[in-house]
Amino acid sequence: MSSTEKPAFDAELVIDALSPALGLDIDPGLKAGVAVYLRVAERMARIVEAAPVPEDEAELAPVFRPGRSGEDA
Amino acid sequence: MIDPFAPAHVTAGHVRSGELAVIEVVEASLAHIEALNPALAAFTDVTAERARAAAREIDRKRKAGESLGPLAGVPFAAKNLFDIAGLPTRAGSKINRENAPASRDAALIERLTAAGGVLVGGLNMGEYAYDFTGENAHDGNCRNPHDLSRMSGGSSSGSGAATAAGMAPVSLGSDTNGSIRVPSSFCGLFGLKPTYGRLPRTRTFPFCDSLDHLGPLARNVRDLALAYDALQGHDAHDPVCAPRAVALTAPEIARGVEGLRIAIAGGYFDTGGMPEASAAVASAARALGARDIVDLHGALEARAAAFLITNAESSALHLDRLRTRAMDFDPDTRDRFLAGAFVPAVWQVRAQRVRRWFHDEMLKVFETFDVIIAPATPCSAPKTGERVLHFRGSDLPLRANIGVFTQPISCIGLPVVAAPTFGGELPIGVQLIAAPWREDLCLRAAHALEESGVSRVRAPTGLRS
Repeated sequence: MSSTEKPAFDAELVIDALSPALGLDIDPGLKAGVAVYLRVAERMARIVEAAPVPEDEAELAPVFRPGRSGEDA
Repeated sequence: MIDPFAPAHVTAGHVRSGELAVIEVVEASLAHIEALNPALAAFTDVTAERARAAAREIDRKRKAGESLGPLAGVPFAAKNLFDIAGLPTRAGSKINRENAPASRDAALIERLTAAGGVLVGGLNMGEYAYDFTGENAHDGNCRNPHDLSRMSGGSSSGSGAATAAGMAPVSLGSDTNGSIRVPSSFCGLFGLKPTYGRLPRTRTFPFCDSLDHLGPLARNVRDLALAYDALQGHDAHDPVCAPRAVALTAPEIARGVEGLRIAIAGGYFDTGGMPEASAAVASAARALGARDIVDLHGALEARAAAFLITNAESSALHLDRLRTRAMDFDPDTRDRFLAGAFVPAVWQVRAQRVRRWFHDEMLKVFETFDVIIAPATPCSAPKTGERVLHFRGSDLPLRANIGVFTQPISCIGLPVVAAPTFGGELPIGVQLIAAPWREDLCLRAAHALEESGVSRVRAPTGLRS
């Protein structure tokens, strides 16, 4: 690996490291299956990271409207 | 003898004129459900007594000369993530069926009821809506009425199967990444996913708030438009619901497509190597006179964004259940929900920015075109239990990839009608996509396809009640 290359994504390491903070106790029999989907998410993250989104311009998609839910504007 | 495949608008007309008593319509529907449901597993709850009481009340109103709604006496059913008063809202799960019964119907059930519809039950669905197959470990796999060995599609599986099989001429589903359009494609139906924010989600169990939509499924476009029109209207209890005036579509559908600029989606949506999807798009394009091919730049990235937003938000929604009852989840959703807990916030935020960017890119496309035709699914309904999707030379996990063509569209909330085609052994749908708030254009194009014969729904053969 060169110094500029991104290290390989280690899904199982992420799961082990973050589970206590998330309060999740992943059954050892499930970890490999969870890691499969986390690796898919990481591939998706690489695609969105590469999207030519105008930096410092694009707004996030969700819109937040203050006011109590259930009351008409 | 009441035809279970009679169009809803025809039934409603006969009810209003007094030719048909609603109680007869409802009894026929209940008998059809009882006969077919063991094979299809489309219904998880049948609200027979409620339906009979509602039917008698509509019959009384007619005799009293009171005005009846556009869906007078039409049986309908709702995916079981819609609250139904008196029933726990199971949302396809084992865990949520332990909840107290709902005290009030979902807003959209109330609206169809106000239009004269008669609720006949709650419908099977993929667990917590994280599904494209119609398979469910708790309530059984929902089967395709056109071929019982095949998937109904999901996650609005029961909606697709019930309406295709004539058990309910109109049904309600939800669509976060394709969950109305995929079962519409596999079961050979029309399904409408309206613009994000058009219909209120009040008193339904959520999946992913950023992307959740609700909408109707039907066997013809007039029924679809009548149901959609009855569902419209602002409801401030859903903060996403836009305060827009009702825009009736049923009077518009027969206007045809003359003057509409219709294109075929290329690039990401290219159907090379997918003969069924390719034939479906070609037949729709021919019937609608579409020749231009437009590359929807950003669809790949939008699909990835939808995946991440769904994964992260839905996992956050279920985090406590994942902590305490992971083994009570359907094994086919559990691993994906668990994985979503580990999605970093920066990925999700980036995905929301990509979503805005693709939305803005698509608004530019709609300056040139009014309606875009795209495939709904890469193939017709796979065999139940199939795990692999052959897609562009690769073997991919089927469950996560059936929605590859639907996800970019719901990602940015565009209105879309899934319209069926019947060129091969099994039905397969196309998407008719328009600019935000232009459901009328999607429905006009769908009606034109129906009139051309390309999208005329066929009753499943071999099903007997």
